[in-house]
Amino acid sequence: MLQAIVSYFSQQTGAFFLALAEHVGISLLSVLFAAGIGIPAGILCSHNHSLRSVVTGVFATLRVIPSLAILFLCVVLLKVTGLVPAVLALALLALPPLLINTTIAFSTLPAAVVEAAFAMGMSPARVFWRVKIPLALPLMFTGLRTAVVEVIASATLAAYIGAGGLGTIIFTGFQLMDNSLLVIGGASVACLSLTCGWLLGRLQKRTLRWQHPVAVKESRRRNLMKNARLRRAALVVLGVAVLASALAATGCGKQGAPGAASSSASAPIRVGSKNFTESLILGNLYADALEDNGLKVDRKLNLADAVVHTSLTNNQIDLYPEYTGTGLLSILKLPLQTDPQKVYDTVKADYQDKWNIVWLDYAPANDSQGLAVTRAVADKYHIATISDLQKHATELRFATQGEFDLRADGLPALTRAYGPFKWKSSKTYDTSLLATVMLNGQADVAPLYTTAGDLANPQLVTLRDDRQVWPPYNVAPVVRGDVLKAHPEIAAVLNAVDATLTTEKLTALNAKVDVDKQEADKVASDYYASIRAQVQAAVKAG
Amino acid sequence: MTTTTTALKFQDVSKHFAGAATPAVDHVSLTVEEGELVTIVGTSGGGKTTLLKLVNRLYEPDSGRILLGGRDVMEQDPAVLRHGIGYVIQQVGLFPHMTIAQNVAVTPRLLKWDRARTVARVTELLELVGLDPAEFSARYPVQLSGGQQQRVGLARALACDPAVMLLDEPFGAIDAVTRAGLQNELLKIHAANRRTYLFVTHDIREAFRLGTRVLIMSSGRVQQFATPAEIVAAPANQFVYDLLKTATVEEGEESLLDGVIGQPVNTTEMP
Repeated sequence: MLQAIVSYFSQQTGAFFLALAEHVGISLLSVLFAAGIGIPAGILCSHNHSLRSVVTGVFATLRVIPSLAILFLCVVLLKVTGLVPAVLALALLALPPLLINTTIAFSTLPAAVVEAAFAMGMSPARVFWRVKIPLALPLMFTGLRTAVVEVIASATLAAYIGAGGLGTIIFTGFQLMDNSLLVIGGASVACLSLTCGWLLGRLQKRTLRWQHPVAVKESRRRNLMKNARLRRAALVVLGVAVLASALAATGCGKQGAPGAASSSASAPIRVGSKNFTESLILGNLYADALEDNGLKVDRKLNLADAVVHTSLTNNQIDLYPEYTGTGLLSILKLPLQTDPQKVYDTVKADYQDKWNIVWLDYAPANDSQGLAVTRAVADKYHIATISDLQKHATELRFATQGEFDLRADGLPALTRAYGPFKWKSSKTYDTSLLATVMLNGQADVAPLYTTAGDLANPQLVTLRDDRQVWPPYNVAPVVRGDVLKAHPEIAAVLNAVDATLTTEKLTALNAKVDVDKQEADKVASDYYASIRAQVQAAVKAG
Repeated sequence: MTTTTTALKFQDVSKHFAGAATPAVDHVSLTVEEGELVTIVGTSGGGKTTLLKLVNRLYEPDSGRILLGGRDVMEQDPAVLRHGIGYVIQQVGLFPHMTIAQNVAVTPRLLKWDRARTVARVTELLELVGLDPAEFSARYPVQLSGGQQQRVGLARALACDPAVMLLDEPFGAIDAVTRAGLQNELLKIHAANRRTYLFVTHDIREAFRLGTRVLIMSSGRVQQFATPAEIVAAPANQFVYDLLKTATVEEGEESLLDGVIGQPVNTTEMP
């Protein structure tokens, strides 16, 4: 465990400090945001009794709601993930202590002192800044400390919605069942929280010396003593660190660190996947193919979207199936392109430059956004493309999961390219129900991913995106460059597998899991058995 | 042969707080000469503190005029008006986040005195109220006893040599021994600068001991306003007489005044 931790810090220094910086950044932003609202609101509340009881009541209730619930609520309400909902949710968490403490501070100011200030001829502004604020500061500071400690601890959860931070390390450790990552992440958050609390405490004591003044000589003597004690503590910590790294260095030399395995020829290939049906099937399929060709494989499947890419760059997995469109838009955050080859060329070049990660050949299968209609409707109105659909929109009933109508690459993008879609009716259902609703005859059109297992049903027809609004989502393995160098045969094997994967085949595989309720690993191994000869021939030829 | 000038004049002043049954100050007219130390005494809720706060506009009158140095206080900028009025209260109200020196220097800084002059004045004032500047300047209020705090309160109010000092039961929360010392200090300071002092107290002995004239108030009205000797000799009415009776000498105590309390001038009318 110690070796794993030390090797994490020696190999992932950059990733660690990035996570730390993100964590501090999110926390700081949240607290500043909360202070900007909470302090003025608290001062306002201290002047108005009825406002005060309403606001403090609301926030006292708010404190009872778990922060994770607030986080997800923000995501649902704002329909975006990442920094914005994270900061909002954390600010909401930081608000109560700041607001309530400010209110109490300003409503319990010593009346005699304030009266004396006015009686001496101070202007109201001067009384506010020179008397009221300094006197309210101790309680406000306490509120700030509570808020900061709470926010730093809760910012861990921001990783769940893709905002980054130290939570990413914990989250990844949880996904990979890697205890050393859990310890590193957890301990870092705890240390950060304690350090910030301690620093604020020091600052509070220093700026608010008037509360507990000690005679000058006494305080200087104590400071000297404290410094000596601090130096001694620092020396001990430094000693332990040196010892630990020395130990780890010798250990590493002998056997390499577990948890962050090197790309030596004997190490197993760590195959990852995302946590939905298609990616699970593909992960298993890639693993089966590699094993069949004499490679040792370690399956690290079912990773959350938020961590799978960083797991690859941080050397916690060696490869996983990724989509070209996702690489372009979500990971590289480049502008939309619609030509499959151009998208592939772009992501391939950028991944190589940025992370030394290789995109192997992409499969013809395209798991894109899509619209499906029932066979009956397609036949009746002669609808094969989205352009056809737009002409008949007013006659058709739309079923949606809601999100599609709002997200930029959903209905708004279609409207820009094809014109308005004025549905006869539009109803919202859970994603998993959309196909059923259509098959039951309750709706005519619905958004479905183009490889959704439901589309294996001949009663449903996918429409062609004839104006190319949506980027291609061709699937391909992304592999660490160092691993590919140690095992060049990976490329030939996986390219041969990918070449067999058409949209129709992938849809059929998804249907076996989602509709027929088979296990993903079984579906993958059955499929591999069916293409084994083909793959081995290709490997030999290659 | 000293010619006196009027320092403060109340002309038919009334103040009635919202929700109160009776006015706190009820048609009060009086004149205070420069250099007087007027003590104001009476029952609780008799309007003593209100009368004081009307002078520096912490309260504003409903009717009537208050002239300070011949000018209506309501026609002056309250901040400027207050710079010229010292204010000392029972709770002291020192700024806890400022050192003793900074507390005393508040008004000089409001008036933008230069540093050297301020420092010199702070030193002078701390010595005047009997606190060693070297020892106390850098301390914070919490490090001082109640009596020491009120000395600082006094120094702070005196900082810019105000024409009028308003003192609202300044020694009310201080033990008897310390209080006697502070009373002597106050008399010394008043004798030295001959400014006009208005001193509210609920302690009749303190009022009679300190006041050049004593203002006796009840129900928001002036019951009698005269020198201690005059009041003792001829209490204006039954209320004043009864008040004096409550302060009769206990055994072994020094007498309120060397004199026998006269009969009330007006026994029938109780205004």
